[in-house]
Amino acid sequence: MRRLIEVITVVLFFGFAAVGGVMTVLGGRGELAASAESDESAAAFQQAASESFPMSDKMLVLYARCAHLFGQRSFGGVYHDADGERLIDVHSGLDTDAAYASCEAIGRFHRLAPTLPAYVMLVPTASGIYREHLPDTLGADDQQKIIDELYYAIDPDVTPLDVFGSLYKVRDNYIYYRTDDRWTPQGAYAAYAASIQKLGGTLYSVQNYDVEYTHVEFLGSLADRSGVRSVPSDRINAYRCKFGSYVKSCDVTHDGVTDNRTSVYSRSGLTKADKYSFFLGASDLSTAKIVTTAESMPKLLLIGSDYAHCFVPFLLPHYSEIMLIDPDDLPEGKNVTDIIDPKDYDQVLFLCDLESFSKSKWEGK
Amino acid sequence: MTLYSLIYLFFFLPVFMGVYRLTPAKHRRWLIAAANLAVIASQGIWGLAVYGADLAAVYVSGRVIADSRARPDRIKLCRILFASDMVLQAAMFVFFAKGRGADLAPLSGIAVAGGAVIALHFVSYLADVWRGHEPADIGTLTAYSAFFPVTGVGPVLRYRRTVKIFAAPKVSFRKLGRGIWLYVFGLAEFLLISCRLSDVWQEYASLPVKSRGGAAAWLSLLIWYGAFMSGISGLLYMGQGTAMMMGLRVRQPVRRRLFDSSLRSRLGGVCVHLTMWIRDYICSPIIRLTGRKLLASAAGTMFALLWFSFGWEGMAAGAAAAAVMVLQLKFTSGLKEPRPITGAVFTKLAAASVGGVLAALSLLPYGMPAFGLSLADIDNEVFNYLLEASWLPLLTALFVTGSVLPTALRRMNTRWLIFILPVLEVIALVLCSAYMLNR
Repeated sequence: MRRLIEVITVVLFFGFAAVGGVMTVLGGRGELAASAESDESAAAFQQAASESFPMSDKMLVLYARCAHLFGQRSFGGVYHDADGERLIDVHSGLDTDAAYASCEAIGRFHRLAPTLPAYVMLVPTASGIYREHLPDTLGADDQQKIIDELYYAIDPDVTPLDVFGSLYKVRDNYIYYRTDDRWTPQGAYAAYAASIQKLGGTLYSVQNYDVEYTHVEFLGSLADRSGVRSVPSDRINAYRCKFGSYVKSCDVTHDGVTDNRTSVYSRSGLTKADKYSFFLGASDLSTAKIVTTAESMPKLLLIGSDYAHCFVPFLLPHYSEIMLIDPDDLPEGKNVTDIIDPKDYDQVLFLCDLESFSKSKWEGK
Repeated sequence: MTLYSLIYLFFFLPVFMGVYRLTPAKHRRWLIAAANLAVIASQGIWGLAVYGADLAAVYVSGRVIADSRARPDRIKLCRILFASDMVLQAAMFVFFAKGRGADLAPLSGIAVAGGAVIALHFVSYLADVWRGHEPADIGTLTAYSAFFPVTGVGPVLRYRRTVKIFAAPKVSFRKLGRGIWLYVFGLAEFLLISCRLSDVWQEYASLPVKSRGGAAAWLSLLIWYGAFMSGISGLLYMGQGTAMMMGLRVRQPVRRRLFDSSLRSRLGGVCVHLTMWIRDYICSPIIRLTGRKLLASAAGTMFALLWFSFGWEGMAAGAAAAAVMVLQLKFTSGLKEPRPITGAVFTKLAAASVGGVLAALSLLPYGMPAFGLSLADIDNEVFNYLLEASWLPLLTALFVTGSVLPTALRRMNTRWLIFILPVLEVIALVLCSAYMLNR
């Protein structure tokens, strides 16, 4: 009997190792071959093997469950806030040099059209709003302080729109996705309510909106990155103003291809892996030009990250045209001024989440 | 490539063992030698050059010493060669061990290329040849000196004890099965317990000093100790297991005894092979030359602490441990069995206290808050976070790496255990693979 157990032990062990190795090689031949030729071949091979390992996504979930049992709450920079039932992408050690470079880029753009009223909205991420829920050991940045410092650094003629306090007040609401690193329409609405009057518009209260619940549940990028599945899934909602204007056209350019629509919401986006594509049809679009029926209203140039996609529906009643440009997704060698002339617009709003702002390549764009 | 990497488990080990099994027993040492060189080369080609030069020097010295035994006119040359090689090995030891001591994180300190183990193997070889043992051929010497399963923290192998098994190692299902289980057990202990505790320790160590309250500081020392002991134990078992798979019987590397009140026995049980090596090549020569057993014990203790933490912290910890051990030996040496209750209580308390003091000394910048602030300062965020993050791995470490479970298993009838080993093996392999992929 002992001999049988020993044979089973040996067969199981080498069988497991051999099958794992063979399937990894078969699943990632190209990547493994490329890594073997790189300068740091051992580390690159290890990385390529990890990515090609069979059922690596299920292994990630298993790892997260087991590590969670052993008291781990942070997985690859994502913190599982069990009390708040959310995943938080912890941001620490913000690259202040890059952030100040982006501030300088905003100032330079403003000087191209100094008479154009300019506004900037730096949106804190969940890591900033829920910082008190994060353990001190993670060293999360004080985003309120950083945003204030960046606002001071930006050209004084550019009006800052402070939304940290407004988001913080409603932090117990569903303002950030639980499994994704972006804000929800509710969070965007809180920022809209705090800033629209400074932009010259009149606030439409939430009662003036029809809320469409898409009934599409999803687990976002933070769930994929961390492997944590014990958080409730997220839902995508659409807010449509009952009054004011309607969308005449919505032309979205993504990967060099322009898609013509008549709505800022895209049902086909709900079938993609990144459900945030519901807003404007693509989460990594380069430009989106929205024309509304409010022809007498001003035109807005909106320059920002994907946080702006969720914000656009709340701006529709206030503008006849909104031109959204994401400088980080513009084709190589293209600048904002290659696409538009700032003088064609009545206002410019720079809207970005703090994390993207510190990583963006706005300098030179 | 380390023993706990994906490449090792899923690529290297199955291929190597397949080729090893097909190789005739008398030639297997050459295959081991080739694998050793490949592992060293994977850490960097310069490491291979350094090792090659050291190997050549030791091989030549060993041959000259062995050939000169019958020639009194060459005794001076032999002494010069022996002394210079010892200095070379000491320099190698200091060079590689220094990398461990300078880094306070237990895992990164352990995971070095193994230069310090190679140096100890060469010292063992030269000393045993000097004492009259037959020198090895270049293949055996290469296979023994840089034996890849042990070039982490050990087990440190003594030449005269292991040279015979390198001559023609025989593989059997029994050794394979036992070796696999030891390897998997060590891997699980290292990844699931030690790595987790090490991560918690790293998070604590990254805090500013003012945030490390007294109670959190004490808990952090416990976490560090748990991570360190589990890491050492895990790596030793992985090494022993891999060696066993190759048909090389290696002694139990960790001795766990729950009720062991002797500090010398406790320290010695952390890494049994290192203890044996220290006894043979440090303590025995000192006793032979000076006749002083306490001096030998103190020197051996100092070396052991330097092995684990090379630097002034290790020296301070070694000096403290040596002092307590000498006192313990002096106090209990004249006592007859059974010892009086006061003697047993004293030794247990001293052993426990020294453990805490040693840990605090070794981690001075991080341990100081433990002495400065009150234990009553328990209700703070850092302490609560550390406790939540570490209580289960610490408890598991106590039962597994500590002595509770092994002691209980030794006292029970554990024949039934063999039937669930394959199931535990698969569970452990799947979990460890998940950890290796995602850490």
